[in-house]
This record gives sequence, structure tokens and C-alpha cells, in this order.
Amino acid sequence: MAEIKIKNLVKKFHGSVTAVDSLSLTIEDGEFVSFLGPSGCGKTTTLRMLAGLEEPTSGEISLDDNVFYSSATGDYVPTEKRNMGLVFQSYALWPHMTVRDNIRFGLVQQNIPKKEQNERIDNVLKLLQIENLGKRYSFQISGGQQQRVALARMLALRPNVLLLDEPLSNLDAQLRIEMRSELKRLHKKLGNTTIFVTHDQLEAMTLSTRIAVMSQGQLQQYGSPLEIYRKPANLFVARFVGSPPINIITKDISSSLFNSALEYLENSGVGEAAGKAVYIGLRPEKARINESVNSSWMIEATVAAMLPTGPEWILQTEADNTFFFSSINRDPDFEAGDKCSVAFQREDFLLFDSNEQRIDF
Amino acid sequence: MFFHKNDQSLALWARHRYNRLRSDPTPIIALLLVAALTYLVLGPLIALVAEGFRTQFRDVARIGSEQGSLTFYYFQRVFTSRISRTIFWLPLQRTLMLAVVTLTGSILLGFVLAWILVRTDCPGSGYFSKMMILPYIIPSWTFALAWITIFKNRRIAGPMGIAETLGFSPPDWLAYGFIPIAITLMFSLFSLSFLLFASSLQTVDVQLEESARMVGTKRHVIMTRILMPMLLPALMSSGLLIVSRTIGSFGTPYLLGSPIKYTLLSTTLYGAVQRSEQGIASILTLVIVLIGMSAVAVDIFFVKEARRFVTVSGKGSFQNRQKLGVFKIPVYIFVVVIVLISIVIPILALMISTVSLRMGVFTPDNFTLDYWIGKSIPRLAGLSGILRNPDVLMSVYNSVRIVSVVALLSGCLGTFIGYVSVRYSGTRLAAYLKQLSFLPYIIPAIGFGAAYLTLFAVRRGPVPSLYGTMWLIILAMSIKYLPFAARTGTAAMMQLGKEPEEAAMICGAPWRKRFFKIVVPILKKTLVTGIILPFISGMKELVLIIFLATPGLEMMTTQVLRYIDYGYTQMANAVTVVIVFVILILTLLLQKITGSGITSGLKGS
Repeated sequence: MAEIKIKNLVKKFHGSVTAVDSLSLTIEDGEFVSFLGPSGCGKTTTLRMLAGLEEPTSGEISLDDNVFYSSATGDYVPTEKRNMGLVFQSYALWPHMTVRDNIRFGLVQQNIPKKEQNERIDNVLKLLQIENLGKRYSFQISGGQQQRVALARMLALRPNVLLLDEPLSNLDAQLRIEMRSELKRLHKKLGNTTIFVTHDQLEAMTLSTRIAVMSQGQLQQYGSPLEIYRKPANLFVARFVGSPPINIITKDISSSLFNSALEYLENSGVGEAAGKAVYIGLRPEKARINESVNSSWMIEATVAAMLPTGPEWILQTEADNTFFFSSINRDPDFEAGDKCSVAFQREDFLLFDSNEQRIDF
Repeated sequence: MFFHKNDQSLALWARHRYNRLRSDPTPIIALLLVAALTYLVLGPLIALVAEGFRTQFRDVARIGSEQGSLTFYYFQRVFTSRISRTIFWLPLQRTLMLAVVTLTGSILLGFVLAWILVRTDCPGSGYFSKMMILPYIIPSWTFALAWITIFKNRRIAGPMGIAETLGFSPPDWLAYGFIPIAITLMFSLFSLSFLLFASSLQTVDVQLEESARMVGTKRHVIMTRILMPMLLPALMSSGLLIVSRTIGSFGTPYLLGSPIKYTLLSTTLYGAVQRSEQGIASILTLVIVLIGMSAVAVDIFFVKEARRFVTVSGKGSFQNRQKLGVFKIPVYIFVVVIVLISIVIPILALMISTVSLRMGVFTPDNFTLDYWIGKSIPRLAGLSGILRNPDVLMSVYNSVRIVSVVALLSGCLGTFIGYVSVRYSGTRLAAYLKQLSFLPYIIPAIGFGAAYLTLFAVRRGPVPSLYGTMWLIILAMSIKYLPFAARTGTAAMMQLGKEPEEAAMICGAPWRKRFFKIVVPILKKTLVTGIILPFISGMKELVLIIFLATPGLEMMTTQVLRYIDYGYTQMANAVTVVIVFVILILTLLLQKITGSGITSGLKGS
């Protein structure tokens, strides 16, 4: 069992800057949870507080029945005794030790007999497919390999929880995809409770069982990847998740578009919800370009730019001084500068109220 | 109820702290560092101010107030009394004049040489550039000793100089006083401006010049409008450093000025301390400290600020060195002459003098090893050569043991300051430590030594009087070298970051193991540098310890002064030769370890 409970966790730096603002969430045993958010949102700080590297200002952190930190009782378990595995963004391999010694260091601290140490080292090296690197030093191996060593170093310790701090951000695109599936494979195989910090929404979407979206120290939404994508709790989540980004029509900036959309929604029977809306969100992939669809909201637009990615095309279209992203997966029969029609259906609409919260309809 | 609640939260707080400190004692280290450094850096300065404005015991009758009470007597005596001209205004005037002359000379010489060696096709430029570091690393008073060896005239007791033996009797103005002081200081300090100019010239982006040329700019316009503004910071920096060094210099004016009572601020201060005029000494020290500090402060706060706007991000290598053409040979000869005068001749003169019975006589029967291994030499009042002389051996022993402790202490202090600064980076504590550990850099060494003497001359509270013990010298040196140690330590720790240690923490290692098995081994190289560097500085230190090295605690450098006082020039020279060689060997060793030059510390200053 390894269930993490965070209650009302607060972290203030230098007494004033609030990095984490009364965060509460539970991570169940065996879950792969991502903390997702822009830099400075408090995700890494939260992870470091879980590891015990940062002292919370107040709140409570517990693992199963062990209270790691509680401002109410004064309980505090130091990092060394938490048995959490943390893989650093920079990997933090010790340059004066070989790969094997890097892995061995923690095992020695836990007084594991020599024979078992070697067994465990062999096992993790094999697990991560780096058996031949054991005698090398960190500066003699590539970034991707360092990443695997850092992971192996933690896995050998058989931690209660595996914490990963943007582990893929220093890898090139190719390796990143490779390591992503590697992480998923490992999680499936070992079943560790894993917390993964990232600012890359694609990583979070593809890896996690649940995602905690954070912004300015506050939890914005906590749910499964598809829930986050399809039913974003608020405008921030809607904007942060998705690439190309969601199109937002605001009441103030493009009023004619906004009103036209509102009229369509009223005619489609969601007038009440539409009445409260201040922002309208439309995902790019929902757009139908030059397709006639029954009972849809259709606007005339000009194609401003066409960006082929290979499998699909990302189009930038313009209507009422507003740029729209849309993605289509057929080759377009028009060119930049041409007129086109852009259509959305009722269920494509995401509506947000004046507090930027999503309106259910 | 209220109190009860408060008690409980206090207990809670204490429990938190205890739990935390047990796993990570860094706050304790930080606290100890802050307390110790505050006392050792700010303490002497405060003591100095206090002593300058308090009635000293010996002046109770004269001033007519109680011992320890507030007085402006010393202040008046230094600035407005009848003797103020002798003890302050005249030395000040001479010091400032000296600063101006030294400054102009060293800047010109340094710039011209840097230009020749970096930007022209003068042969052997790489080799000469390396040699230019020598004047910077050997003690500055070595040049004064060499001057004495060559130009000493009959006026003063002791053997005559080489010139006199060769039949040229140097007049007093050439043997002692302003001219020789200015010349020797200039030759010992121009390497400073050379190093700064050379590194600026190397790093100025060639593309800036090339783009100017692309748009058709004339050569002299490029020089004045593009290059000069870029070099201005180097000019200002080296200028202010040279002024600060000149004002704080002691060895050279002592050796070349004292025999004819040509006193500067520093030597006046020395006199005051020798006569136990504590109050006057304090005021004089304050003046020296203030002038020196303001020079360096101007450099740091104005020049460094200005430098930020200068793009110094060039590739460094100069493909298009200026062709000298017909001037190649004359320029080459000029460089050779400078190298001869500034490096080869002084060191050679010193070395030859130690194996000559009479200086300047180059015949086989004049050769002697007496000054090195002789036993009870009659013409030296029965002294033995330096390799078997108890006084010298004692000074070697003192130097080695004191400087070893200083090196270790500096290394440790630097490491811990770096460690704490990184762990607390961004906090006020780290900023305070940084400023505190930088302060000794801007205080001239002579003022620093005098201030230490003031602070530790008597018991203050629980701190015993350390006067007459090696610990006073050790503390003064360690704190004076702290800026370099702290910078080395902080830079290394910053580069390391806190993650390697945190990774060890995650692995379950307690603090002791994290520090000694992870942090220290990774920083091994830096730590060795941080130990050798203060060792080198300590071996050649004179100014700082001049007030602190009491009889029985003579170090090699002060032993040199003693021999000069007695007129045993060759003995002094022999000890100096040993010092210079020790420094050279250690510097080479250091370069081997770090792979970089000793000047790296200078550039960042």
C-alpha cells in the first residue's frame, strides 16, 4: 500500500510569496499522477515537500498511516527516512562514482547485504536495459542513459512512491517519446505509486491515470486525462491542455462572432447556459472546414496560414479580427488567402462564466 | 488559556526544529558562521573607530580626561595639530602623488604591452604573456630589494650595491625615496593592468570591429569609438586597484623610503604603532582604510555596473593580428627590455647577490656560499647562512605552520560559506554572508593588520588577548583571504547545486555521509585550489602581519625586513629567493591541478 494524502498544504517562500496554496488531494495506491502546470505554479515545490526536501509552511502530508509532516502535531519525518524515490530534472548523478556505485550508495545506507546489493543492481540495470554501463562514470554516458541510471538508482531502493521531477525535459524529442513509453511500461510492470511533475501537457495526458492541473499554487482540476481535456473545470485548464491551443471567443473582443454563437446556442436549446457565458471555447480538431454539416454553427473565414505537420494540417483562419486554430487530417483543397467555412456543432462548445468557470449544459 | 496555548505552540515549534535539525544541521553551521564572521570582520573595524576616539591610558595626563572616555584629541593631532604636517599631511601628499605616478606608469605600460602581445604579430607573444604573470605573483617588495641590491649607496650601513661597486655612485634621489619607490611599485603593479587589458582585448567581440569595418569605418575611428569604450572598464578597474594597492603598500616604501625618513601613510602608521601611539595609529588606519575602500568601492559599484552594458562575449581568438612590418624588431626588443627590467634583472640580481661576497663583482674569488650554508660568518656578526641559521629556520617553521593552518581554515571557511550560501540562496542570510565575506577585500592589508592588532591586543569579554600568539596571525590572514576562499567555495557549490546532496538524502544518507561522501569528494579539486591559493598568499604576506609577527613569531617575510634593518642585504635576498621559488612551484602546481591560470581569481574580482 502506498496512498498519499495531502491536506491543506501551504508553502510560503521568504514569508510572503505563496508557492503552494492550501492544496488537498489524495493519490491512491498504484496510481500514476501528473502535476501539470506552467513554471512557477508550485508543482515542483509540492513534489519537494512530499520528498521532505522543502519544509511546508503548514498543512499535512501522510503516506498510509505515517504522518510525514503535520503542522498541527509537529510531526516531521526527514527525507532520509521517508523512502521516497525522487528522480531529479538534472538527474543529479554523482560524478565521482560509477553507475554501479551510484546505485549502490543508497543500498549501503539501508544496510543491505553486499550480495543482495549486487543482485538488485543487476536487476535494475537489466530492467532499464543499461547492463553494459555499470562501470562507466556519468560524464561518459549520454543524457538518455543518465536518465535511466537516475531512475535505476531510485528503483533499486524499492521506494514506496516514485517521484519524477520533469525527468524528460532534458531529452531530445525522439528520446522523450521512447522514455515516455519506457515509464509507462515500468509503471505497468512494477505498479509503484508514481508522481510525475511536468509542464508538458502531452506527457501528462499520455502517461497519467490522473492529472492534477495547478496554477499559481492552487489546484485547478484533478481528474483523468480525458476528463481534463473534455470537461476542463475552468478557462485556465481549457487553455493549458490541448495543442494547438483551444480557441476562445470573448464577449468584449469579438462581439459579433460571440453573439452569433450565442444565437446558435439559444436556437439549439441551451439558452440558459449561453446566457451566463462570457467566454466560448472551441477545440481546433472539432472544426469542420468547408464541410456542410446539419444544424451547426458556421462562419465565413479567411485562411491566414497553413502548417502541415505530416499526419495533419494545422490551419490558422481569421474571422471578425479573431484568429482560429483548426486541425484537419485531409489535404486541403484551398490555399492561404482563400475563403473557407468553419463549422462547429452544439456539443463542441465549452462555455465559461464571468469567473472563468465552465458552465455545464 | 492564552499562555497555555502559547506554550503549546512553542513546544510544537521546538519539536519541529529539533526534528529538522537532527536530519540537517545546516542552520547551525549558518548561525556559527554568521556569528564568527560578524565578530572577525566587523569587530576590528569597530574596535578601530572606538580606539581612535577614546582616551588611551598613556595620554590620560595629557588629555586630562579619564581613560576610555570620548576624545577628539587624536583626531585633532592627526589633522590639525602642529605635528599634523609631519604625521599626516606630508605623507598623504606623498602617497597621493605616488599613487598618481604609479597609476599612470603602470596603466601605460600595461596597455602598451597588452596591445602588443594580444593584437599584433610580435614574435613570442604567448610566451611573454605567460611571463607577465610573474610580477603579479611574487611579493611586490621583491623589486624593492632588487633595487637596493643594485642601487644602494654608501649612505646607509651594509654592503654597497652593484652600481657602486661598478664605479657609479647613485645619488640619494636614485637610491632612496620617491623615484625608486614609484619605479619599483610601477614594475610590480603594471602586470595587474596588463592582465586586465589583455583579457579585455581578448574577449572583445571581433564581430563588433568587423561590422564597423564592413560599414566603412576608418581605423582610428574604430579605435576611439568602438574599442576604447569597451576597454574603459578594464582601465578603470585596474586604475582603482593600482591606487588601492599603492596606498596600502608597505614593504616597498619601508625598504626604499625609511632610510632617508621618506615616509608615506603606511610607514607613518608603522611608526605610530612602533611607538605605541594607539590613538593616532587608529585614526591613520581609518584614513588608509577609507581611501582604499572608496577606491575599490568605486570600482565595484560604478565600474562593474557600467561593464554590464559592454558586450564582452567574443570568441576570444584574434585571427587578424595587426602586422607590425618594419617595426617588428624594435617592438620585439621593447618587449624583451621590459621583461628584462621587470622580471629577469630583479630576480637575477637577487640570486647573484646571495652568492657574492661583494655585490657587482663577477670574479671567481668573489663567489661564496656563506649566505646559504656558511657557519658563523664574521662579517655578519657571527650569523650563519640561511640554511643553517636558527632565526631563519624558526621563521620557516613559523611560516609553514601558520600558513598551513590558514590554508586549511580558509579552505574550510570557503567551503562552508559556499555550502550555506547555496542552501540559503536568495535569502537575506546568504546576502549578508556574501557581503561580510567580501568586506576584507576592500580593506587595505595594512589597515586590516592594524585593526586586528587593536581588536585582539587586550581581552574583550570572553575573547582572550591573542597578541603575541600565532592565532592572531592565523585569524587575520584567514579573514583577509576570506573573499577569495568564499568566492571559490560559493562558485563551486553554485555549480554543483544542491541536487547531488538531495539525491543522497533521498537515498537515506544522514548529513555526515552526504557531506563527506558526496559533497566533499565531488569538490575535491576546488577544495585543493581553495587551500593552495591562500597558502601562496600567506607565504608572501608581509603588510598584513607586520604588526602581528612579534619576536619569536617572525615569519620568512618579516625576517627579510629584520635583515634589511641590520643591513644584511644578502641574507635578506637569500630568504626572498627561497620565498619566490616556493611561490613559483606552488603556482605551477596549482595550474597543473586546475588547468587554469592564477589570474582567474583576478578577472572576476
